[in-house]
Amino acid sequence: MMIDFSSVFMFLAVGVIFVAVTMLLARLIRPADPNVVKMSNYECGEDPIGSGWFTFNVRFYIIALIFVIFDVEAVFLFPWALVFKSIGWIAFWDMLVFIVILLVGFAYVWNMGDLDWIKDLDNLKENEEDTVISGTMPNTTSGQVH
Amino acid sequence: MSVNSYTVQAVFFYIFAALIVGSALLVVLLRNIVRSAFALFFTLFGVAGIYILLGADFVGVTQVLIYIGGVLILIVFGVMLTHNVYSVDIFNKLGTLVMGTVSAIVTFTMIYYAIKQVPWLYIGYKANAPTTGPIGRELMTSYLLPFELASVLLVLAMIGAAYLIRSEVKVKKAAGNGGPSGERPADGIRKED
Repeated sequence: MMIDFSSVFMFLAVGVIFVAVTMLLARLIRPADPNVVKMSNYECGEDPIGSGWFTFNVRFYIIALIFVIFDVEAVFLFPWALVFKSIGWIAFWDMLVFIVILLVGFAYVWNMGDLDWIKDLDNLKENEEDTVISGTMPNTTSGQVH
Repeated sequence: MSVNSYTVQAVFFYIFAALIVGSALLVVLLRNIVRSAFALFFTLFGVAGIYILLGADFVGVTQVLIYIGGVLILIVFGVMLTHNVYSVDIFNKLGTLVMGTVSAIVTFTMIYYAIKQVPWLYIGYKANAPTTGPIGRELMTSYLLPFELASVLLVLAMIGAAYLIRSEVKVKKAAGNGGPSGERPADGIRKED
């Protein structure tokens, strides 16, 4: 087993060294004359408006949380998949129960609208200025994220 | 196993241990919580390395998948949701330093005596066998009920968190249209919903 992980470690080491060497080489070769445009935040070619340090929408958090829950579920799938063949159909039903229970939670979250990005489409007309701004919010933030 | 491979293991242990201790210190000492969150990445990663050195391959990979891939993301999101994150200044008062030192010493003493008193089984080369398959077998046979209950726990966590966040959003909405403008960042565009 340690042999397997030594190859993982090699990948890791190569990854770290590759980035470090590239950055170092670039630092040695490139001319250093920073100006305002170069030092500005990279925002996919757009001119950044304001600071990048701002409070994100709380809805990111629920998405991340659901992701973690299903991450844990995915981890349980690995040991199950290894013994699935030797145990057979019992293992299939076991996992089915496990996943269906989780799907109940998923259905709940979906049904309650936690996964919808723009929630109040009906209320868009009232309170116009505020909703227009929050309507453009997803674009602004998704530009920030990647 | 030759003596040589133990030396290699020892070297790796000290590399990971240094990584854990160093980055954990950064987490505590850095003033900027975003940087603290990123330093936490290296702490969790070092712990994964230690798990794998101990022969717990499944736990080690799970650590990477869930703690680095999931919980850390959650923490980073939590940091980004912090109000005025750019000006949050973490300042540890002197009182917390004393309390922290005392609790650290107590924790260390407890762990130290626990390690000293446990009669450790020496299982030698068997410790390096892959563990994922046996874990799966145990989950599907002896520990089937805890396994299914784990999914109930996950569902409870999901529903509970969704409920809490939803009520949070509602409270914010109810607090007034646009909210108190004084708390917003200077540019009006980035304001939260």
